[in-house]
Amino acid sequence: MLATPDLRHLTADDYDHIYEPAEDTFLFLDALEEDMEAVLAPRCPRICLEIGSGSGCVSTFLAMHLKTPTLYLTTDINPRACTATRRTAAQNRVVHRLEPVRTDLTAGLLPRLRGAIDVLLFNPPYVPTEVAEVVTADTAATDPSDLLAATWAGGQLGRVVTDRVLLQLPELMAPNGVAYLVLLQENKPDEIATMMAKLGFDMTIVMRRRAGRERLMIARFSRTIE
Amino acid sequence: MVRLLTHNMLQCHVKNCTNGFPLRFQDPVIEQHEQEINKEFLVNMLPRIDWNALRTTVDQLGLPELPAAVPENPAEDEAFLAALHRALMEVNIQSGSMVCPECEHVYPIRDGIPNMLLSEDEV
Repeated sequence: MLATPDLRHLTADDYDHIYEPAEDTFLFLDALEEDMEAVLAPRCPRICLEIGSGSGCVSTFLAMHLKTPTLYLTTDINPRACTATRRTAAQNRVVHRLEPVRTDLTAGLLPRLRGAIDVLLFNPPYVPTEVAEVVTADTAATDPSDLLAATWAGGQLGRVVTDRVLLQLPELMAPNGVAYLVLLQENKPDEIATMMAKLGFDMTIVMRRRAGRERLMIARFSRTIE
Repeated sequence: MVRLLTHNMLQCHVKNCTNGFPLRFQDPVIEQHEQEINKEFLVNMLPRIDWNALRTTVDQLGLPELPAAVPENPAEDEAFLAALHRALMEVNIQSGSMVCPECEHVYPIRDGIPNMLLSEDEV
């Protein structure tokens, strides 16, 4: 078992604004640990991009344990999440290789980083909700005071934000890149696998776990080898 | 503390703006934070650095000039790696903003974090 990042610097006040690491986060860490030596280390990634980094727990975990000279870029629309991510990186002594950017998903990184993402990490807002509940960049830009819904409200099938990112994978990912995504059974993983096959990506479920009512899984996407 | 490493990867994404790179710093508060050099990291990162953009930015900030091109064998070139380390990793832009060279959109730096968010009518 690899150590999880030290999060003692984060307070109840932080968690009023950012997502507090929970079962989905820990499943994500366990899946990355599972893939660490066989999938991630041999790729010697240059750039790992985490979308919606929240507390920064996931990127920090990878930066702590993946012994490769990798840059960890993180994005979040919530300014509190960006500073929390940097604090978590600092608390765990990886801040020199981790760079938070406040933005909507990947905006401002393309086309500059086209085909340059070696590892992508995304724990999206996956809970099925009304589409109106999905937090947009516009809300985040005009009123950043309450962005907690951005961490969970996923719209129809819980897929509105997830699909926006999945459709960008062909542009984002390096030829040998791997993208990791947290999914619920309600997100219809089979439908996602079919959609991604058409875009030239294979989907593998790395790990599954039931947490209360949530049937969680971690999916890994890589380009189909022809 | 926006490092030039990060700055080198950010691009204007205002609708119809096609040449918004590299962003130009405006009113930058520059700090140099000494840090241990990680040569392996620098060499690994080099293929992802837009060299001309980095040189332009270093010049705009009035920092020591970088060589016109990356040497053929950068991993063996101690002086080059030291200069690259200073520019990419040790220069920190604490506050100020970044301006698109084409459409002049201003991206602020707040709490040392670049804010690339646009409102809906700008995307």
